[in-house]
Amino acid sequence: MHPPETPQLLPGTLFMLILRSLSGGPLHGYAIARRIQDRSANGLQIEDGSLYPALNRMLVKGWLTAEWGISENNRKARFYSLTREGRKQLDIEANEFDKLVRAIRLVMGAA
Amino acid sequence: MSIRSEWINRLRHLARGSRFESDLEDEIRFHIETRAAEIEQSGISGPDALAQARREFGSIALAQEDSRAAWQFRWLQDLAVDLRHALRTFRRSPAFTLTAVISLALGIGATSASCSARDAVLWKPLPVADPNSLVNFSVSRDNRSPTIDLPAAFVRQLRDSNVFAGLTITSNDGLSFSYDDRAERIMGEVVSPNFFSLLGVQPILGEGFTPEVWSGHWAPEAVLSYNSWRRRFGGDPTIIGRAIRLNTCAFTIVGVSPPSFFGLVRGTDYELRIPILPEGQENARISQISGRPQRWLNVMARLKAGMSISQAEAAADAQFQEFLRAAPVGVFRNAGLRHLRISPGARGDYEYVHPFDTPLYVLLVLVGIVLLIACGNVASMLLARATAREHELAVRSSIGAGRLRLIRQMLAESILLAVIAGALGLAIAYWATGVLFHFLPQGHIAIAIDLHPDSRALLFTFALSLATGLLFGLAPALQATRGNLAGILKADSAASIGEGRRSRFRKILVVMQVAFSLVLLIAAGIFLRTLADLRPTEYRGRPERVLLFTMKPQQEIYSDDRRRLLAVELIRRVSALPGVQSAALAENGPLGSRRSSDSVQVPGQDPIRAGSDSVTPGFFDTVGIPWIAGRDFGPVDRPGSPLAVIVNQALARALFPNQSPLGRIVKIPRGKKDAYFEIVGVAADTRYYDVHKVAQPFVWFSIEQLAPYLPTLHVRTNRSDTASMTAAIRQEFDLLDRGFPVFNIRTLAVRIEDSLASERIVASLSGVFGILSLALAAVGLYGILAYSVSRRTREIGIRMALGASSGSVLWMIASEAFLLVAAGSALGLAIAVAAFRVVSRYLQAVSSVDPAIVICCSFAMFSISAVAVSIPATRGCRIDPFTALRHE
Repeated sequence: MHPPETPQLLPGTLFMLILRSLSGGPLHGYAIARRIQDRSANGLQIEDGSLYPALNRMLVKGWLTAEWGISENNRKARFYSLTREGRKQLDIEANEFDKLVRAIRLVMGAA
Repeated sequence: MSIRSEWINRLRHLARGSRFESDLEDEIRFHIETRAAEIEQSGISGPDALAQARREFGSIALAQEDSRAAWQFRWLQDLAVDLRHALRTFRRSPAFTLTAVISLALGIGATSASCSARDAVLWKPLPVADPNSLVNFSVSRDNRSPTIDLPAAFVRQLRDSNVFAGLTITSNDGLSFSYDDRAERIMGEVVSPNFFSLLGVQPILGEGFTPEVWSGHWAPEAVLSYNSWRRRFGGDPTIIGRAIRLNTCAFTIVGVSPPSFFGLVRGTDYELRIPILPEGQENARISQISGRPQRWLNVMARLKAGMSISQAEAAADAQFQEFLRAAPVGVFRNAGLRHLRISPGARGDYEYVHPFDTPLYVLLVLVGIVLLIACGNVASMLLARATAREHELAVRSSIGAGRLRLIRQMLAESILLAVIAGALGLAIAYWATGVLFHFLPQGHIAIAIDLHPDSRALLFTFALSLATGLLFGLAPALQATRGNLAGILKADSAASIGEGRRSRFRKILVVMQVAFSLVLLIAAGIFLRTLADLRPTEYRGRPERVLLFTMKPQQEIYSDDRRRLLAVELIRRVSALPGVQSAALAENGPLGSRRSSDSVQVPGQDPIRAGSDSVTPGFFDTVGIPWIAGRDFGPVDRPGSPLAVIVNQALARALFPNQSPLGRIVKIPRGKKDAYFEIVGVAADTRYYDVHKVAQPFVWFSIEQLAPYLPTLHVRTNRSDTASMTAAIRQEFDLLDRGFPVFNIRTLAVRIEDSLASERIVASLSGVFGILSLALAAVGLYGILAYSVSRRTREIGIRMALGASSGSVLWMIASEAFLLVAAGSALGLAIAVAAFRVVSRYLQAVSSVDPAIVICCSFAMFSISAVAVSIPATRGCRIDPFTALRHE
């Protein structure tokens, strides 16, 4: 359930969040969702269902690769890892995001 | 990330197929079950935990759908759906589909044919390796037009200078070719030994000259052209090594060039190629083969990789200036040569096909109009159908199809129609191009063009089909989807919105069609009239009974005296044949492909340029040129006796206004010396060399006083069976001497027609297209009327129930139609007159817009319209009011 006070995800940031979660190493889909939730201290809640179309879109773009493996609870799970392209993309997006946030802060601080 | 690797990833995905679906399903199940297990740990029971996990996940179906979509070629799959839908629609209305496909196929086929023809004749690069690095030369001269030939001595210097990757020499020559015993006249080419290798043309049999010839040791070798090999040797694969004779010299066949290669001169297909002699060597029997450094040569070169034309030109011209400075005083020094120029040579030499430029251009415009009319027809039919399909469109729109989606759907249909028509059109084009070239003159040197359909024609036709589909599909699609489609579902179908606008649009289309087909008809009328005006009538007494035989006793083999003897003996023998009225020789003859001129001067006055020819006694009667005054040539005009000439009226008037020219002496330079001739006769004015110009001043010499070079025997027969007559005369040639070729055997009537070839192509084709477009316009008119009658069934029913006679109903329907035809005709006439103003500036010798032509064409337009109108109109007035009113 989504608590109403949870802020909406900024458009276009889901790819970046997924890339960042995977920068530590391969994870399966559920773990990606958990990691985003935990890292944001429950401040960001993505709808689990929207994760998979995003992952597939990133596979098409060649930022990720997927492989079947064994999860921590000993089940077959699909693990995603970053490609070189993916890492590059993460750098680009993180940079742009930083710039954006800084700019917004400046505007908000000045007001 | 590039688009391309995305596509590759997508294509890989296609190969993965159904495994993707099961993977995705497993993955989502794993996600939900892991989440459920976590929730269970916080104390919630199994089924509840699973339910909560599902809720948190959201729509599984949506997640699957979106994931799938990430991999798909979205528009491609939409297109597939659209095309499937279109095919289904076509199956449901076969009559519409057939009509549309046929009219489009005719339009596309005709356009594609005339484009391929133009491409083959003028545009297509030569079928050689890297044609874009080939260049042609020309030399600018003082006070004269540039020459395209280069001094042979300079060619050697240029070759040694290594400015170019290579140079090749070509020089065409008429040769006597004998393989069995009879000699035949062929056109061959003398080339440098590196010809085939420089052009990158790989012979299909043997080689392009042997390595010995290559390395400079000349040998009598010949490479046959593909067509010559097929025609003369039946495509014999063991031809290599066979001996032939050219001007009685023995040559060995060493190769056969590939079928696509017609040489560097567009429109020619020389039968064989022989290597030029090394510098300084000559062969008295084949003049063009000589390696004399004083001669002029036609040269083509290949640029070095990375060198631009301007760089090459600068380097080559520097060589040329050096050559001019060092050149010995003589021909090259006195020719006023200035600078060497280089031009791109990818398309070869098209001087020879230049006369076909304008006719082919006119043709392209004509077929373009036919295609437009066909488009108009199909657009009109599509509009009618869109009205009938309003309901379907409204339903599709109400269940969520956007306008863009509907337009795309309709465009997919029209483009599919056009592409099917294009495929059919390709077949029509292939056939039509063949027909087109039947009209070309097969004269002294036949024009030869490679008409095999190639990838260019295929690509062009495909692009044309797509464009056509867009052209006729877009307007109906925009029209049909405009306005409130959902309203149609509620409203009565006959009172639907947009109906008025649509039928107005269709009416405009019909008016345009009528207008353009009238333009085509008038154009056809004008071209036919032009042709009739040009056809010379001044040759009296059945030109179809005058047989022509051109013969070539090679100068290199037959001496002047021997040739004179042959001429006399030939005329004696042929004249004795039964059925022969008269026989005479002429050096060129009327309307042949060769012509000559001389400057004629009354001593003390300005010289006059006149066309000239040499003939034997009896020539004027044989050919049918009326006699005016004086005497014909006769036995007295022998070599050594006083020189005599006959002039035509135009020259007589120009030389001696208002005086008799008979017995007067004129000065005509012969070679380097002036000679004085007495005018002994005057013949009527005829268009002798060029049918397109009014009769020019003309002078005839006696063949006996000037040795014949390549004379044509003219024979007038009183038999209608010219074929057996031709055979009998041909036999006399064989009995006399089989050592020289006899060719170009035809009648004077055929020669006249050949001289009008380009006008004939334009006239016949514009006639065909005019009739075609008339039929298309009639179909369009019929379509809109039949449709309007069926839509107005109820209205007509009410009128008739209220007492309208069937005559008044007929009038109502017919007047609507004839209003459209009248509007179209008026517009067409205006366009025709305006277009003629423009065209007559570029086309000389085009007759004027004659009122008779206009009346005839308008009459044809109205009568065919009457036929098209009569069917729906009679159906309209046969409507039974009771059934009509019960119908709705």
